[in-house]
Amino acid sequence: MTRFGLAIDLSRCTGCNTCVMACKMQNNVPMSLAWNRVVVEDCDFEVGAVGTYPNLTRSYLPIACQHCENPACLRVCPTGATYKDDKGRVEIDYDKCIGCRMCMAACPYNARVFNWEDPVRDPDFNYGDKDVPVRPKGVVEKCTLCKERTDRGDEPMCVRCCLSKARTFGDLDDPESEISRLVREKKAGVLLEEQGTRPQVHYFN
Amino acid sequence: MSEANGSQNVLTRRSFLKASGAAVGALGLAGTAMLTADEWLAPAQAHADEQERTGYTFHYRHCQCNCHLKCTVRDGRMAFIEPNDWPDKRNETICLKGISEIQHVYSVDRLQVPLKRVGERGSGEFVEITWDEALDAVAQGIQKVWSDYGKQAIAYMPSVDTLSVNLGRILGAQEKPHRGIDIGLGNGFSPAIAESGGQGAASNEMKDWKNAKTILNVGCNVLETCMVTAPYFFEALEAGAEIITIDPNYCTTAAKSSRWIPIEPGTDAALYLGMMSLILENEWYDEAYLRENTSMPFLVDEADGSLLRDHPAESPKETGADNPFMVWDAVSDSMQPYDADGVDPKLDASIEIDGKTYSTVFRKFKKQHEAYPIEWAAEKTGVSEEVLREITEKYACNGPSILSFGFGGADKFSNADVSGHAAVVLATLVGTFGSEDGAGAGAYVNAYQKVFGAGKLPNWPLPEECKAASAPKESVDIRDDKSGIRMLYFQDGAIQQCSANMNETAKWIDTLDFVVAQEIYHTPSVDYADIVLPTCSHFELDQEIGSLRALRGHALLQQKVLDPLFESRTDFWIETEIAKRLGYGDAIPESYEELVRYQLDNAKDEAVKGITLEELIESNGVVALNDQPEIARSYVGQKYATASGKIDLYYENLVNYGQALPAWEDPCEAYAGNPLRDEYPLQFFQRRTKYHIHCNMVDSTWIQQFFKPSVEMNPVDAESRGLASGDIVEVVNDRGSFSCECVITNAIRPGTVAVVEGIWDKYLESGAIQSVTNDTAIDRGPALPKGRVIPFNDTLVEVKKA
Repeated sequence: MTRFGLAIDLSRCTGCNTCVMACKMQNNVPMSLAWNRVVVEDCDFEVGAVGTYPNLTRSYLPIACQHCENPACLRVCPTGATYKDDKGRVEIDYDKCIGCRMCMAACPYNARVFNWEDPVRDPDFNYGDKDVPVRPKGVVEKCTLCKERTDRGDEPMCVRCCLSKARTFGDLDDPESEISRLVREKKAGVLLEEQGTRPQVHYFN
Repeated sequence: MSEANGSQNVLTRRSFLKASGAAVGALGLAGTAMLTADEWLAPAQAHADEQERTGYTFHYRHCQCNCHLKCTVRDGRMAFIEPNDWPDKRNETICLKGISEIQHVYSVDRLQVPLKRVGERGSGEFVEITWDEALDAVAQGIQKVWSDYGKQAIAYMPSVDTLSVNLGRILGAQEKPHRGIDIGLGNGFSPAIAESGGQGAASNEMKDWKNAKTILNVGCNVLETCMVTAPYFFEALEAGAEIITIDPNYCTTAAKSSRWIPIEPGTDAALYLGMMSLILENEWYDEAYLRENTSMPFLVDEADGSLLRDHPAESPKETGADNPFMVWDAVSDSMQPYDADGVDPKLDASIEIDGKTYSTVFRKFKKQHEAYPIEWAAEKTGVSEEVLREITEKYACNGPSILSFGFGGADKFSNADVSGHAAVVLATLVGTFGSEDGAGAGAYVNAYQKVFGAGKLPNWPLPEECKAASAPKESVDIRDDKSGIRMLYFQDGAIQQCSANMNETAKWIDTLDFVVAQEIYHTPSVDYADIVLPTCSHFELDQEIGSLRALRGHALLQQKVLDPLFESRTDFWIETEIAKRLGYGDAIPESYEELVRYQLDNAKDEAVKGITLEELIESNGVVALNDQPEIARSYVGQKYATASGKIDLYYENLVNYGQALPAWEDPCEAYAGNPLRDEYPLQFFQRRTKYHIHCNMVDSTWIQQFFKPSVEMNPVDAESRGLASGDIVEVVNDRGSFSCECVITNAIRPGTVAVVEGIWDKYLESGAIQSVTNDTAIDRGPALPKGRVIPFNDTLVEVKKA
């Protein structure tokens, strides 16, 4: 089996948002939606810091779909639009999505976004990978782990563009893969382990 | 910016991860209008079958990064941008700025047609004109200035990223005269080692940081301002180097360093002086290195501070080969030329000959340092004695060591040259230059663009009279009476970027005969122009081949991605049309291609020789320069192009200013005891960000999803003023004011405020950021290699609720 995932080295993340932009472009994500975000932990602003000057810390946390082995979103989807594909990715069949947004309520990572209106793009044309489906108003969307790219054997765009080389893509079922080695050696963790979702996005410092 | 998106960065980890309705709501847009079944169930569609083609171009060099991009064009529109393939895979980079060009090339703030001013200068009132009208007006304006005042009356301020080729020389203009920006530290740092660019470029590449043990990164937010160096930063950390970032604010780089040490702004020189006192006291300096490779053993006449030469020198620049410097030889116990066979110069000596006292530079240096004990440095810098001792010992004794500085901090204070001079002496004391791998000093961001991996391309031969004019020596500032400037021809927001005290600058511009802007975007500077020429971005060409660069270890070709957008024209087309009207139509190349072929065929630089245009096209625009090292380092073999051929730490030309050796001088405005602080207590800092290259990208709507102009201040200062995040505040001093939102954050040093530089006036609530900044020209300016620095950050303000 193939079980694609990501390993993210948080010590290398500078919160630069290049992965966020890369995702937006690649996947033709409209204005005011984002599939991938970088959170500055416990801060109200990107330029914030935790603590009192000069005893400060700041950490960045990039978050998108965690491509869980046991996805909370999948269990609640009434139409089967959300599915786990043969490469271990959580995907959405947009044609089957009825926009009930049960999946959004179920996802503990808040990874999904919804097209409440006709998508507004600036510039007003479909940019990005031409193989990426255009989503209409009324469907949920999220990180696909760059399905179209990874099906072609390319890395996800966020991995390709990460300046710090903080992101590693690969097959978690292959014990020889770089991602498996990192998860093993760096004792990488997952977000909200107690939810039992078993994410395939691993984080380490 | 929508509410939904504005809040995407303000979620905490906790609120982000809980699947509460509120958190989900924060990501959705308002509006729940009913949909028809057809709309609701409309099948998702892939993009229709469209025509795709690929184009390759370089992106900006101004951020120092020189990314080369592979761009997909679909139905005539740029739809995808990704890093191009490079022979050196480390260079396959793109940042959020490059990606955001998807939208930014089509920005509503693109200048679309030529414009002619109809209102007051600065009012932004223009009418559209034709290209012929615009070019005729520009040519006539140039000719009138030429005949009324001479060619040198034009100031040509090209963009760092300009693709104009011969325009400056055809104009015969002063090019960036006394620009005063990014030269402050270099003024003091570069002369000692004859660093070629004069801007303090580092002695090795950042790729060498992984070979260092101790890295002092002083006032340089490199992870935001030169983003492609991030891997080298983390390689160093992972290899076990300790990166100590010294910065008033908790910037991104501070947060990612092994350690952050806050410092009082404008006191970097005091930090270095204090460190040097400790190094002297503990004899941590490299005595053999100082004796062999530096001017430290040279004898100085105590009476007038001059360096003792074989015979009286007519100029301090007279070389040591022609007129040797004199040292005290320990073997013969006599005065000897420094280059005499078998000479063993004493480092620390003072002698009397014929009633005159001569001391070595080192002796004078030690004596001068009695004024800078560690307690003094601690008080000036706000860094404790204990911390100063600790970092100095690490820097001096746990090498290889790096001393890194940037352009955003100390460079923009009146005492910048003192900081730069102190930095080069400090690095020399521990034997940095031309020594072991992983030892280095300087501005690492600058080295990346200009010094390392750069190939020299020949200039197109123009008639002899076509050459740039020198700026008058008696002028210190483009705006002064002695500059002789009557016309300004600028690109890329030069007025906003290169002038402090905007209200005074505006008055000066009003006195000029003619102002031309050649710009891609309608930056605030454009409003001061009489004629505006809209130019293409790097993605647009009217021919297949564009211009050539040799940077980042590779020859980089610009090729067409898009046809010129709107009615914009390439820099090349514009200068061709102007040249024709000035009678030089036959003197310039017919196309970029002819120029590029000339540059490659006539290259004298071994790094470039043999590279052909065909090879470049075949390689999608990227070909490795010849024989580039894995990691570049300067001064190998202790070779310095200085007067003595050694590291010349003693600046004889500054004896009359008391700065032959670095001597503490307070910043001219933002110093601790300035009475002006009663009214304007806060130091004002313009910081750079990953989001913009100065004023460039400010109008990008993709960037605006993340960035909103704000004044950043510490809770302590906000509380005493009754301010909360989101309040509109006015930043004010006697020079002027501006207003925008404020953000309260602990990352900013109490007693200071920060704002991102380059923000356009239209994105503020009112005013202009540069209206408050300090434009004082210090007396020493004309004696410094690049003239006076503009002390943008040496500024005091008050902040109040607007």
